[in-house]
Amino acid sequence: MSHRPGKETLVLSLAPTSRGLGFAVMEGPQRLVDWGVKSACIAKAKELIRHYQPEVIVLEGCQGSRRGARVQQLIRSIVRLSKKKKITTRCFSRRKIQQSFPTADAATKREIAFAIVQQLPELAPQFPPPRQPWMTEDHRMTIFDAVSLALAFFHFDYRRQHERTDKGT
Amino acid sequence: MRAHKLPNYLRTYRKRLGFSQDEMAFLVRLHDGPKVCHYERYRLAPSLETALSYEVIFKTPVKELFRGTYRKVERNVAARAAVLRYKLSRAKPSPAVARKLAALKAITSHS
Repeated sequence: MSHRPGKETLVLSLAPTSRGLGFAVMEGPQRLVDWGVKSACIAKAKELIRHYQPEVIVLEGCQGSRRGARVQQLIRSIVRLSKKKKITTRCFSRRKIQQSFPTADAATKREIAFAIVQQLPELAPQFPPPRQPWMTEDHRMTIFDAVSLALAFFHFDYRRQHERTDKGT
Repeated sequence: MRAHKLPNYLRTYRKRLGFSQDEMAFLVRLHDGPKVCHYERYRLAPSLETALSYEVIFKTPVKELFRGTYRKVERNVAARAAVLRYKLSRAKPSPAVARKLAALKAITSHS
């Protein structure tokens, strides 16, 4: 499927972690269609792709990252699956995600999650309490990881579209 | 703009309000949650009464809740209106035909 950048692009972002597969479906930077956490397996990713038939799948780039082997394997499987289904795939590193929140001054995952809640208040009930040093990360944080990936896509996609328009004129 | 939209956004609106599928089934007078699940997964289309119940609950027009379905219906009606317009344009001119043609023109140009 060829993807034309636009504000209403249906994007499925997936954030697999060892705790679960966070997902978000967005039709634009302001329109969150679905979100949640599923068990981290390729079957669940397939189910989401079949149900929403997205134009773009956004994932976290695992090149040079310290993700676990199982998660890296899952990311690669999702990329292979989307290629097979001819869906555009985009990968963003954590640094790129941070760059897509320049005005919010968000650097940590929690700051990014807070910036997301300001933009999409329907996610406020999912915002986890502050993490203490002895606590593991809240599983709901994967939802914010997925939403941040989708927002990074819209940020860079919109910018690229404008650059293309500027070159055209 | 995308050529197609998702058939409905019932799941999105339900999750925004934080209701479970069972609670939603109770609100729209369905017997159980699975039917709500079928609507949300686009396997079943709700009745008019159920669709209007959703409008009351979410305070959003049915047209918005079922945006993909609405677009599909709109395109189909516009295509049929174009055919009827063509047929009427070949009929004997009269004020009634002119009125119909104006209405059909509005339908085809709007979609």
